[in-house]
Amino acid sequence: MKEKFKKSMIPITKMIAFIIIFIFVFTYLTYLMKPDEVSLRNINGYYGEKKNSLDMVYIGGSACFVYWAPLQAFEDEGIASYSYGAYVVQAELYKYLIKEALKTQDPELIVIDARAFQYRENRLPEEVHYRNFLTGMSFSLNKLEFINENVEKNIGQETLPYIFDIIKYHRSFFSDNINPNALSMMFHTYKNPLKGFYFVPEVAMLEEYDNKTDEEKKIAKESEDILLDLLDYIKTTDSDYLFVVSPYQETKEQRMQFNYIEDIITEAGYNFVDANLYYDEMNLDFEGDLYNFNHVNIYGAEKYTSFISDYIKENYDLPDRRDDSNYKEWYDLLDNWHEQVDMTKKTIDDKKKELLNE
Amino acid sequence: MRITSFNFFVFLFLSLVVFYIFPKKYRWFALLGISIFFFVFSSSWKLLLYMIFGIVVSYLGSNIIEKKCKNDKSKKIVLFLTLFLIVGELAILKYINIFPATINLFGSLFNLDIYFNTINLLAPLGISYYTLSLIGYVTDVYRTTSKAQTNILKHALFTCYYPLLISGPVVRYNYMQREFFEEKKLDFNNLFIGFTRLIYGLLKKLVIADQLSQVVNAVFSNYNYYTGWYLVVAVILYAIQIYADFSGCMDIVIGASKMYGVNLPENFNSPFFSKNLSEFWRRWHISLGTWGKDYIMYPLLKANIFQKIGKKCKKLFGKKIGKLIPTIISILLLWLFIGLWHGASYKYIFAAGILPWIYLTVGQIVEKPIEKLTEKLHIKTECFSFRLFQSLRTFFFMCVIWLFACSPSLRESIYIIKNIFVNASLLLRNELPVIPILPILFSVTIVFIVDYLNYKNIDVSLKFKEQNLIFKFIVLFAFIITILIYGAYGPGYNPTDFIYGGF
Repeated sequence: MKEKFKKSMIPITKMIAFIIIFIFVFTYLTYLMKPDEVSLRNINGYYGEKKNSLDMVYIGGSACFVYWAPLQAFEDEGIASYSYGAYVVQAELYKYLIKEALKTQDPELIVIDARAFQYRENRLPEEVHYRNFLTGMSFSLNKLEFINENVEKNIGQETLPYIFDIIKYHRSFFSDNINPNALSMMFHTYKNPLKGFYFVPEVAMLEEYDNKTDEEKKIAKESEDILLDLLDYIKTTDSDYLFVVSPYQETKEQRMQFNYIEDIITEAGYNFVDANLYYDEMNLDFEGDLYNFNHVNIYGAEKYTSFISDYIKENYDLPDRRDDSNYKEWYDLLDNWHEQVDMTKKTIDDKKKELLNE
Repeated sequence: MRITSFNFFVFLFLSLVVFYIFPKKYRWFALLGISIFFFVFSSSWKLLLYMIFGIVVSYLGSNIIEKKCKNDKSKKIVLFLTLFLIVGELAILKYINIFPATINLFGSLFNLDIYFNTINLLAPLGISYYTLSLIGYVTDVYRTTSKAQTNILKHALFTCYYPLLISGPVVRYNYMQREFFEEKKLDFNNLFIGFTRLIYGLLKKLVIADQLSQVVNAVFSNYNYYTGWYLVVAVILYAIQIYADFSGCMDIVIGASKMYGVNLPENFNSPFFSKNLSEFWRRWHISLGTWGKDYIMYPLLKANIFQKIGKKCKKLFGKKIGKLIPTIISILLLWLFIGLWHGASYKYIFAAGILPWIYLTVGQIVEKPIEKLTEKLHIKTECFSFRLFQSLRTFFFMCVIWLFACSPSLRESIYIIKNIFVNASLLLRNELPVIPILPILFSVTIVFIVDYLNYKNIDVSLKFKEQNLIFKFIVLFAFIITILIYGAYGPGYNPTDFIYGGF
């Protein structure tokens, strides 16, 4: 009897071994094919951060990762933070991004880029907007939940290629380069050397708009519902939240919408800062600190990071990690940071000169 | 439900669980339920009615022939009536358009102002395949080589067993009865061999056939632009594609079936190693060929009218030629049937019917003179170079057939042949779709090796099963990873149906 049982267990063990290897291959092989770009590096790099080492997480789209410079905030104020952002964030992603962020970290403060609540009227979600975030996220129930609730409903696509993204990315294997960080990303050991920041060595000569107004304008119903749902959700978490609008060429109409958003957020008991009301305090220069009407370059990022860091220091009780021995490796990243800042600034200066000569 | 889709694998897994949960004695009943579910999920409830019609007619026909008919005449009447109803259903659903197409063709040839619209009727999945199996079954009951099935549900399983519905093979009742109704134990060997075969089929279909189809389709849909060598290369690629597609499909269905413990007959036996065309057709779509011989060609040769023709021809042309003429006529009818079976269009009647018949007839006529010539010229026939020549010659003739088959129509295939001889440069044009050449070559090499071993009568799946576990895992995962990375599936690819699924 025992012998018979032993015999029947051999093929079952083989089958189980096969299934385990298969699931591993099916889930992780895709990292070899995912395009190596900022969104993937930022979202996946978050998993590489030491557990519970971040005191602040800044969540958003490009209005997060080209604005908030975590290494500058660490050097100047001792804030241990991460720019958890990818291109073109959609507001419905926030709840799931926060859930994901809280799996490995226990930040005291989560900063949320509020621009996403105002997008919906002009821009409907597309595949790439979701992919930018989902591609870097590991396979989890949280990810599945987002896919099931949003993909078919909002972009009318099949959910399967989002759940198993090898279905989407396997094609790029023979047309693009293999992701050099694939292995470390596969095992969640990839460390983003800029803590989620992204340099854009460009400059644009713009003018400041008159955006001052106390009037309000409603946002899209769908966006409002998403915002209310998010506010309900964040109340269930232990972190504090700050909603921000990063500086750009904000129009009066957009400001009116942010006034409306601000009311909802402050009513829920959270702080709201529209940096577009503080151009002078930041000393923001529209002829050199932005690379397009919607984003700042490193000059603008430095000013914005200083401004928000000061605000955080004044209003929240975040620890200063500069003398903490557990954060030694942050200092190791600073040399590279300064080098890249200088290089980017030099390129921007050259481009600005060219623009002025034209 | 595509058998290369994710849904199919979920279905296969769940159906295997259901199948093996059933008591051994009733596992055939589980297969019936699984097959009906597959059919309905893949098409619709309404189309199931057509299949039920075929099942009921053949069930009643076969039982009446066996139990009620007292003499041969009444048996014959019931047989013809049954076949008339079964074939009639197929003809109405699949071939009704040949009549308006013929009238329209004559209209355009003679500038007549007549045009008939074609009718689009949905045919149930696998009707071309199960109809042939049913014809064979009823005929076998008439010939008393098979017993009529008295349990209509068991008879239904023979008709609608889902792996057979996709692209065959065309099966015989006597063979399938043993496979279906013998008690099925959970055998891990069957699961392993079946799964391996299924993965091998996916490699053929997704990495070879569907990737090559992108290039083939690009060239043939633009044959005025891609002229000369492009067309020649595209035909060769189509030959590889159609083989990988059809035999890959067979590997998947034979593999899936094996996992339930049901062995299906092989439909291919290394056809590209054939020395001549008649050997090629003995190795390509075997089940259709043998079915045609057993139920069309041999009965025709035995028929009174053919006997009479034979006698008359012997008187007129002598014994040798007199014997040959009825055979040639029966082969013509067989090939016309095969051509028509491929599709209700003149393209198939010519490419898969008349052309092979011309090949075989000419082959029979010139066989002896060529043998004599070879002897006189002292050409060595028992060496590698001659064998290679024979295989390449066979491949070339088949490529001509496939050129007609893959062209949009008979008329356009003539343009394509013309364009082969126009602008014969081989400058690479960037517009062709990018395909992963090395993985395709890797997969084609694997298929070549496996086919060669099969040709040498080595049972590759058995040999593979005997290997060490680590080796088996490495090979299986090499295949799986190749499929996952280089397979033509997901966004950016148009999922292509199996070519023979459309026949």
